[in-house]
Amino acid sequence: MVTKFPQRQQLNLVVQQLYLRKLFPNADTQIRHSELIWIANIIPSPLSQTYKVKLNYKLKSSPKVKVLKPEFTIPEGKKLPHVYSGNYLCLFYPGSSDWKPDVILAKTIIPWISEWLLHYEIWIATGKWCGGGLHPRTREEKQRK
Amino acid sequence: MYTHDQRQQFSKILTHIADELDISDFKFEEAKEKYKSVGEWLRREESTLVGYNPRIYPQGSFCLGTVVKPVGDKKEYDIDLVCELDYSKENVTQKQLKEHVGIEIKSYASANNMKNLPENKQRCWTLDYANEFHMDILPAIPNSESFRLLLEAKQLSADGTEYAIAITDKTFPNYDHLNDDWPCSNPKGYAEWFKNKMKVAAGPRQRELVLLKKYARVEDVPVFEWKTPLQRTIQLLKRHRDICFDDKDCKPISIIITTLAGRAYSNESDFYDAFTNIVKKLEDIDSLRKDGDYYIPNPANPTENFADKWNGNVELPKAFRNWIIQLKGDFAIALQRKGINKVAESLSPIFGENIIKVAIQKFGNSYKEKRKTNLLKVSAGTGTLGTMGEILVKDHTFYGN
Repeated sequence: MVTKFPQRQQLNLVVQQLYLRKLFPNADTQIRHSELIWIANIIPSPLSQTYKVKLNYKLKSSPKVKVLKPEFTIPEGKKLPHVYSGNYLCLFYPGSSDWKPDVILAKTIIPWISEWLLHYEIWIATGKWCGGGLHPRTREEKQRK
Repeated sequence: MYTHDQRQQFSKILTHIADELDISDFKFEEAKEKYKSVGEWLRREESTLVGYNPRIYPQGSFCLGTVVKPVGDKKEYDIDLVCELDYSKENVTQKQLKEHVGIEIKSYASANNMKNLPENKQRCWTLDYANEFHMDILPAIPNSESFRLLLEAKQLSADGTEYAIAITDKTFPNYDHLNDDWPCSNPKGYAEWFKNKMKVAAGPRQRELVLLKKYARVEDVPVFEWKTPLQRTIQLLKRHRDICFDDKDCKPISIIITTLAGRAYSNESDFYDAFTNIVKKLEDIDSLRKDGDYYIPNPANPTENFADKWNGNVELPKAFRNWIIQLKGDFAIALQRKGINKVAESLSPIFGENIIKVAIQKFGNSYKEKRKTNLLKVSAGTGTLGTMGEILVKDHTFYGN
C-alpha cells in the first residue's frame, strides 16, 4: 500500500506531522492550538547518550528545539556553543536556504538535532565544536566595521 | 554487550587514536632522510667502507610500522638501523668490524657538526640528533649459510633464513678473536614473518594506495603504510605500556609485545575485534611455558628466546600479566560509558589527555566532512547518525551564541 503525501507547497502542520510520525513512529507528535509539538528520544551515535528532545513549531515562525533530558554538563568557565537564550538549539543560519517553511522538518531539522547532540558530546570532550558553523558578530565587531 | 554499531564506532575512535600515536608523515620522512644520509656517507667515494658494499636499513618499529610518539614533549624517537657489510668472519673479528664501522660513523658526526659524539655500545653505535632522533646503528654481516647449519644442528627451522645476519657483541666470548661464533640476528626475516601475519588484512589499504597512485603495485606498498589492525593494536599497547610503566625496569619490551600480538592476530579487519582478541590471548602467559620455562622464540631465529630475562627474574612475567589485566580493566570501564565525552574521559588516562583530545576532534571533523559530501545519514526512529540511515543530513550552518 503506497501512502501519497500532499504536494510540498502545502506544508501545513498536518503534513509535517505525517512525515514525523512516519519516520519517528516512537516519538510523540501532537498538534495543539495550531502548534506542532514533537517529543522524542534521540541517540545521536551508537556510543552516545540518549537525549529526550522537544520540538515546537508554529506556521510563520521558526522551529524551536530544546533538550529536556539529561541536563547539559557544561565544563567550568565555558559557554554552550550554538544555542539561543533559554538553551534552544541553534541548528541553522537564519535567513539562509538552510530552513524555509516549505521544507520537511523530519528531513532537515531532526537530523540536525542529532548532529548538534553528537557535536555537543565532542565539544565537552575536546573543548572544540567540530560541526562547523558561525557565531553572530558581537556589537563591537559590528561597530568596528 | 556491545552492539555491532557500537563496536564499529569504537573502532573508528581507536583508529583516530592510533593515528595520533603514530609518527607523523613529516617526522617519518625526516627520519628517513637522516638514515639515508648516513648510508650515503658510508658509500661515498672516500669511505673506507665503500669496498664492503655497506647498506643501511631500518629494523624494529620503523620497519614494521609500529612507531609510537614518545611520551612527553621533549623525548626523541628511537630509530634502529642495521649496517650490513660484505665482510666474512674468516677475515674480521667482531671488534674489528665494530671499530671499522665506527670510523665512518664518527667522521659522519664530525662532518655534520653533531653536538654529541657517537657512542660505542654493547652491539651498536648510537648517533644522537639532539631532541629529534636517537639512532642505533648495528654493524652486521650476511650469515645465511652458517645460520641454516646452526638451525639444522639444533633441529629447528625458520622462514627467511636467507636474510640472517651475524652481529657484534662486546660481551660475547671471542669478541676480538677470529672465530665463527658470532651472535645471530634476522630483522628482515622477522619483518617477513610479521608481514605474513597480516597480509590478508592489509589487502584493502594496499589496493587503495595503488588506486590513489601513491604506489605502482600492491607489492610496492611498504609495511609501514599498511596500517593494519595488528599494527595499530601494537601501537595502542605500547602507548598504554609507556604510560603505565614510565621508565621502570620491569617494563615489558616491545619485541615481546609485537611477537605475541603477531601470534595472536587472525587478520581481523575490524580494529575493535582485533584489539580485544589480541588482549585476551596476551593475558594467558602460562601458555608460553615450555618445559617449565617461559619461551617466546624469535620466529626468524628460534635459537633466540625473547623471554630469556623472564626466566631469570620473576618480576618480569608478573609485571607483564598485571599490565594486561590493568589494560583490560581500563578498557572495560571505557566501554561501559554512555556518551562520546564519557568514553573519551575514560580513554584519557590510558593514552594521554592530549592524544585523546586531538583524536576525538578528528573523529568529530570526520562527521562534518561526511555531511559536506552528502554521505551523512540519520536512521529513522532512533535519529542515530551514520552512513546507512534513511534520512540524509543536509548541509547547514550551526549558528547562535
